[in-house]
Amino acid sequence: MVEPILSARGLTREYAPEQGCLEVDLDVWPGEVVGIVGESGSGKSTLLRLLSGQERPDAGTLSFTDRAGRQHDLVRVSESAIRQLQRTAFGIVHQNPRDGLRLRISAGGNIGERLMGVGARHYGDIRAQAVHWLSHVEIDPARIDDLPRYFSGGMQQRLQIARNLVTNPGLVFMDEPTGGLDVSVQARLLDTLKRLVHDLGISVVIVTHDMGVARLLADRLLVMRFGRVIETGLTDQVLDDPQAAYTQQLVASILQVS
Amino acid sequence: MSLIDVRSVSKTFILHNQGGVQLPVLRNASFQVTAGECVVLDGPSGTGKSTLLKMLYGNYRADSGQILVQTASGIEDLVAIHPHRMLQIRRDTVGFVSQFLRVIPRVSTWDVVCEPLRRQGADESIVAERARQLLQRLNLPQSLWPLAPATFSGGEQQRVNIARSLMVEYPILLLDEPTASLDAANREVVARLIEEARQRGAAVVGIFHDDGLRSRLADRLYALESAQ
Repeated sequence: MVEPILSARGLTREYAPEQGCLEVDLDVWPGEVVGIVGESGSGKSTLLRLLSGQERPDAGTLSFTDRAGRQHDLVRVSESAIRQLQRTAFGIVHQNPRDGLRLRISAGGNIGERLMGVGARHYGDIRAQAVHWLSHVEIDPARIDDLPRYFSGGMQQRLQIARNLVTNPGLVFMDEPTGGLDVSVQARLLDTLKRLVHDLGISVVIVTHDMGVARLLADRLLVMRFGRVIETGLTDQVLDDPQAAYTQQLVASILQVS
Repeated sequence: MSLIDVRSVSKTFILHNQGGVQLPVLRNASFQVTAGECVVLDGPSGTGKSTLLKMLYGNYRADSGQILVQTASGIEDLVAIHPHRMLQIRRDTVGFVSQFLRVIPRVSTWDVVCEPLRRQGADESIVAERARQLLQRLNLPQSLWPLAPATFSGGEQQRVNIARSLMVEYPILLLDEPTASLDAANREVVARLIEEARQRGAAVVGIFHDDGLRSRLADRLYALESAQ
């Protein structure tokens, strides 16, 4: 049987009582999209930062297996090794594209910069890769020399995704990636994401408070409250037959638009 | 040999946000389905037919009992299974035709239909051939294939849904009123597709309100009674 690429046990980071992330167990298998849902303050973003090595846990274990089959202990690994993983094996897509992009360099530069971070030097190759990835996320390659600060929110988010995917990461972390976008732009981005996940065989851990996004994108869900995971299961099972009182309340509050 | 073996499955819904009301829906449901057999869940509304069918797909949880299914790698109990494994079983073993289509708004009919077989890693030429066949048989004109099904009529959406669910030749097929909003001609097409699935050895469990379809397809009825 295939092993998980990311495996957390008892992962804990407590800022204050019931704040942060407490004793979380989680496995992510190759090609799978795992959604973390809950209200703001539930600890879901803290969990994402712990899983992606942006923050260190107070307790627990966390191991990651890269595409070459090498295992990394993300609790004990050095800062420089974590940054190396984040540049190559991980993608991290922030809610606000301004946190994940450099707005003063061109769209192509944003993609090329990450490639250069892993040793690419040939200008023609880098530019060709940038064109390839722009079209992959449905940005007109003619915009390659434009500054992303003049892009719409949806395009900036697409560019951020391209920048992350160019190094062929096995695992991508996303924090509310459709957060600030119009509903129609969201649908298009979700569609792109779903296609990329399938075509590239990447695994995704996505934090969202939007149950509609969770339903469309995630294979499995973790529901968080007060820093703990209170319910897990297949996405449709958690949403259609929620067990915990809190999950029932969360699901009941979804606006029914269809 | 049974492909599905349901043993004493019970379920009670607990509505925590409505004063903890308990709604028993199923008590000790037990039945088996062998390869090539079609079992129709029978009983007045509220007896848990749909709930039971959804449990066979891992969409609802069981409180107790076992739901044993035969997969390529052995018998597994869906009541105790890890969700990650259930995803694989949905990809390879158990198909579900629901009444409603649930997809990303912008995805074309063609991609919606092709997806389950693509997910198995099938060759694109095989995927395309199968999709073309199913869409044509279900009378969905080619002009609709590039369009997203969100704007289609109820009957068209249901036919897209059926095409999608039949792309993979699942060993186990679950049908929740697959012909509810179809006209007579399309009902006939769906009946034939289900017969073909049975002939290739699929174990079929269905809910059909249409009497003609039910008597035509059912090898056996499994009668459910109120659990209240």
